[in-house]
Amino acid sequence: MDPSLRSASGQTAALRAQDVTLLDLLDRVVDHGVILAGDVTISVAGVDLIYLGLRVLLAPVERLPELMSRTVDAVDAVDAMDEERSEVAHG
Amino acid sequence: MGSACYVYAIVGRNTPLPSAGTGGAAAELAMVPWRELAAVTGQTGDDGAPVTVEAVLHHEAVVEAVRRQGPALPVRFGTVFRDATSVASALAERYEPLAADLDRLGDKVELSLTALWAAPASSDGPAPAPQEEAAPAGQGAGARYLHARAAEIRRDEALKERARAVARELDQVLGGLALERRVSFLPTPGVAVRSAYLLDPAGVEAFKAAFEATRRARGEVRVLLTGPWPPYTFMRRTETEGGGIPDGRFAELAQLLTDAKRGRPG
Repeated sequence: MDPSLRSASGQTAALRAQDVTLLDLLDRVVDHGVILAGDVTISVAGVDLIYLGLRVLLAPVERLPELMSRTVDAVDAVDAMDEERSEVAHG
Repeated sequence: MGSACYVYAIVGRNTPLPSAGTGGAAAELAMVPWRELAAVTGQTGDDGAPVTVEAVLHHEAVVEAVRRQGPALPVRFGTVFRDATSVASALAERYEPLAADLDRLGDKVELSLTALWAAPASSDGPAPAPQEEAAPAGQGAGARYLHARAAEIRRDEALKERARAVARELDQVLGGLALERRVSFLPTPGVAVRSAYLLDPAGVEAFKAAFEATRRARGEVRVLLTGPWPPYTFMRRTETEGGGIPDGRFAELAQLLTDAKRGRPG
């Protein structure tokens, strides 16, 4: 495992259910799919530019209501699990 | 609007374009054909595409609008060519694998499963055994370092084995419902397993029902399901075939997201 990731483990471990949906979208759209050898900088040598841009992109995640709607199943599942645990803890 | 060609998707050359305005995503699309394939393109600036929330969502919206018209392969975000001739050359260069992938994946979808460790979010996964943490008294700095490093390696191995066990349990329930799957273990310390499942769209509801049944039985992990997505994960890779999900950037994305949500600069 990359040592730099290990040092960041406390933060990456803090992912929430809503984060997972956003990550699923970003990971797919930005890092997967058909790879064509585009001849404008951003698509090949400019991959890092995309990640630089993502630092800005990721800040206003609350602006993604349509995307977040896809999390319904996941959020419901987690909420239900939390409620079950709460009931066990306090029951 | 510039004159460069931004590529969204690969389709069969007779696939109709979405009508303008579909989902707010179909304006000014064009087809660049090569033999039986075509690239769905839009115009962008000569210096490439902007990296913004709107650009990423627009990319996904266009891909999904195109796929409603017929089988299509999603192209990676940020693929830009100088002109249509360059796009056609790129199609020609990879024609055979693209045609095969369009036939295999064009009408399929994928679901993404993520198993987060249910341990406290601030910990590095499940807590290690206490006896592994304390070095014997009276040892020098070098010995203490080696002792700690050995304990760390043991924890990593134990964690990987637990992640594999989680994946095996999930796979017993869900694997048979998918056409293909890609699995990765511990892409970040907080994520035990990430899996992508390739499905026929008709099989999505049955898969979700099975997921709903199995996620209740998980105590060690929180199991989340998202999608359906276009089959980004199952494209033929130019570098290597098979294996797990290429997770080179996932951990970086996860870090960027957690940083952003905590208000840290990049």
